[in-house]
Amino acid sequence: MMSLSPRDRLILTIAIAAVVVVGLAALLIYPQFQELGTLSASVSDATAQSQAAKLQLAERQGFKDRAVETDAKWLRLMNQVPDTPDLPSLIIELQDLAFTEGVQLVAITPALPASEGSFESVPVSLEVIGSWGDTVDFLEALMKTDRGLRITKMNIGIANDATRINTSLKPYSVDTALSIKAYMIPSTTANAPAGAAAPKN
Amino acid sequence: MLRINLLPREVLDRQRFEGWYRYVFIISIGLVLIVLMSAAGLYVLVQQKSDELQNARDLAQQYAEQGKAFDVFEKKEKEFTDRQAIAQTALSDRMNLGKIAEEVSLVLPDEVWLDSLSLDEKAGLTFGGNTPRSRNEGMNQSYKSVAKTLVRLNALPEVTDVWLSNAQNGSWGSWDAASNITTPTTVVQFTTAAKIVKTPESLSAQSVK
Repeated sequence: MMSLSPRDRLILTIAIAAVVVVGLAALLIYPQFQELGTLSASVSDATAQSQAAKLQLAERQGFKDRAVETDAKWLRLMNQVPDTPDLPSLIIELQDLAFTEGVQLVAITPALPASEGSFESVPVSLEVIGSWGDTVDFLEALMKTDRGLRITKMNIGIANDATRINTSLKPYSVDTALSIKAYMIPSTTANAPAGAAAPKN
Repeated sequence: MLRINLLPREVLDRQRFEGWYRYVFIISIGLVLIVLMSAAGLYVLVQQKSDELQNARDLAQQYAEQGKAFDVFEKKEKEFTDRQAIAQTALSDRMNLGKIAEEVSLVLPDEVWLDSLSLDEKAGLTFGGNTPRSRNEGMNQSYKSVAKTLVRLNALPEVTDVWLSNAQNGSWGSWDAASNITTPTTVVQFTTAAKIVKTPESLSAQSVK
């Protein structure tokens, strides 16, 4: 074996010691640093997820707090625009309205629902007879019913004698033929509150 | 006294460099200790970070599970909102034709009455009116009532493009309720057409609930 001078042996020893120290550092410290970096990033992600989940929870808590109010609005909306034609409720409401406003309901003729995109309309022909003032009140009241209605067309004429006799109304009554539309939104899900759109009377 | 080192140079060198080994050893041990302590410290930090990560994940999962339990309320409200928007579309721009009919009746001159009134959201307004006509043609001013009617109709904000379709002399059966007798009256009969437009006043104030 080649003999080294004392100086070279010292240098070799120092080099070996340095290699050992650096090797130890590489084996023990560097991986830890790497893991620490990875963990820090993961902690940031998890914290962000946690914050997002917390916000979502708070938001959903709000939905839960408003659940009773939402159910009540559901019921009103289902009365206004039900998911079926719901003719019984409509007929009852029209009859009540005619009675309240003092006009005679002479005829109701509903047609089959027609699609209008995301909703359907139920065309209904109506005929009422009454005094001019009562008829106007009836027409205005039609716009304020629980069921959302649209008057698309109306023809007002003088009620003839035969009609007047049949309906036992006052003289100078007018005969009004109305075309109205009631609306419905066919339900795609079945989670509407129970009892929605039930007839009121 | 003079001291002379008679040792050979190699021995002297060896003695001189061997003295350094002690320092090299001490420094190496020191550095190794520092490395080990750093590694231990880092290990503790890594453990803390791992715990922190686990806690954050547990918390996120806990929130997510609680949130999932309330998911049904969010779905219901969203469905309500969607349905409300559709209902709003269906019921938007409803014209209050009853109000327009009443306004037409209010602006008619006293001497004019209607046989018929038709209102259509798209086609507009048409009506058949009558105004009394004097049997003495020399004194007849009835067509002025027709003109007055057109002017007054034009004044209504919901009514535009008022047009007289026809006006002519005719007779109208005046019915008396008490005697149930219809007496013919000389009149000017006229028909009028107009468009109806949407104004804030003519739209139904009722919104989707």
